[in-house]
Amino acid sequence: MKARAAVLLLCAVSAALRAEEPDWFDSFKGRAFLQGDASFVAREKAAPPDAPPLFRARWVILRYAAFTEEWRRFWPSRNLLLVTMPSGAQYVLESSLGHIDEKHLEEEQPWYRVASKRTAFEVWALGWTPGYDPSSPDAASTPPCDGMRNRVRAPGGTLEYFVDDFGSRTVRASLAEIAAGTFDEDERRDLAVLLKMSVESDRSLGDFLAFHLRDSLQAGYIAFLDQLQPRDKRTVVFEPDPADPADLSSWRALVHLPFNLAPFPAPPPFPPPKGGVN
Amino acid sequence: MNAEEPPKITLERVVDGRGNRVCDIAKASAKSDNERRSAWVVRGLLKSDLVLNRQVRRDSNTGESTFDEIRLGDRAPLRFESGAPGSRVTAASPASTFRYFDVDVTRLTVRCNLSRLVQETDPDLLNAIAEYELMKQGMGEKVSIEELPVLMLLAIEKRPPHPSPPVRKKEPLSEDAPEAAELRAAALAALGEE
Repeated sequence: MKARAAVLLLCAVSAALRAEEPDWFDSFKGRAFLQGDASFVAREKAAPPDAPPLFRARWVILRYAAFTEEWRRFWPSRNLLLVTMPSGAQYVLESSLGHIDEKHLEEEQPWYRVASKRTAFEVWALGWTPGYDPSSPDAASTPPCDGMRNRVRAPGGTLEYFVDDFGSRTVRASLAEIAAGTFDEDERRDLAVLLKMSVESDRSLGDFLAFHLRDSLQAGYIAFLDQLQPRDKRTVVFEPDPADPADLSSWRALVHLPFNLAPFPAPPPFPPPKGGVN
Repeated sequence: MNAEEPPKITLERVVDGRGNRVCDIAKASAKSDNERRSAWVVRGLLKSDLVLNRQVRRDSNTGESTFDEIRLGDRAPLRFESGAPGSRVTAASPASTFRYFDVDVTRLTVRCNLSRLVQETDPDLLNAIAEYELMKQGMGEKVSIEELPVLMLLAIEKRPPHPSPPVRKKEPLSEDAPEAAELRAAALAALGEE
């Protein structure tokens, strides 16, 4: 009887802890599929062709079968940029859309993440309020925390900020402190190179790939907002990696990569069927 | 050398339009070479005393630092610490801290985070400062920088001014009044001069 009580207590404590600190990977469940896969080397624009790459990157999108087939277009996705530095250090930059429970839209959702083998800087999205307009005269009378917000969780600290305040001094200074307390000197130096990536002007990538690469890099832009270079000073570009892509097993632990990734079939035509996804 | 003058204490009574007591306010202050301290105790406006503390320290290396505190009675305080004008303000509940720049004080991010700190400290503080501000409006007074925690908490809810605040007047509270001695002691205690 005592043992049972102890187990129940453990479960209750564990549930309470989960309620306070949601797990990033809880939103990505079900069979996983691979939607995109491309490999690159990153070089300075002006570097000679035989110069060693600044880093190698593998881009993949994972889709998770959270809903029925006809809703496949809206399955949760993880847009991942897997970066390997010449030192062997690995980083993952991620922009993601998790499983959204339509009955609980107030719950926070995974949004952006930068992780090394040692640490992670996570950005969650919360506060989606239909019809909310912070600039309307009525906004002053609404509760002070209503509206679209991001919540940063990292070993270096936490911060909840409104999306509209992203560029404010308060948010910039707090993000810089959190990043400084999360990543060590080597990690900060490695990740700073990613802030110099020029993806916008590279037409060879195509719209779909350019969009997703840019979106994965956003995770680094948030963490290191104070060091972000203006676009005309971003001088590092991606080139296709001539080497054969290795299997993804070396990323399994860092990325929480599922086994047996089948190709993601093209989604059925729009519009989706009537009714909810849940 | 850090010579400190004996604390100065002012006792006041706030009354309504008919002369009935609304609350009493004690303001104590002390000054030394490098430090100014003040404590305000508002008694009778709420169930508990509303206590405001302020300490301004001058340091030849770091300049001026200001520490403000607001609490109800003996309950947990919400603290603010700021340095030179334009520097960041640190607001702290017993559970967490949030740092912000003054220029951002009207932003939703600051309002939301201060609101969280209030909830962590003492949710009754918001109603308390609303009552306090209403009383100030009734006296035709504005909340001053000396009452910085009140200003910060008012920014959270952005309540519009009351269209017709009840009339309030301030008058001196006699040292001989029965409540004076206790109020005076409370102000000295809040100042750390027990």
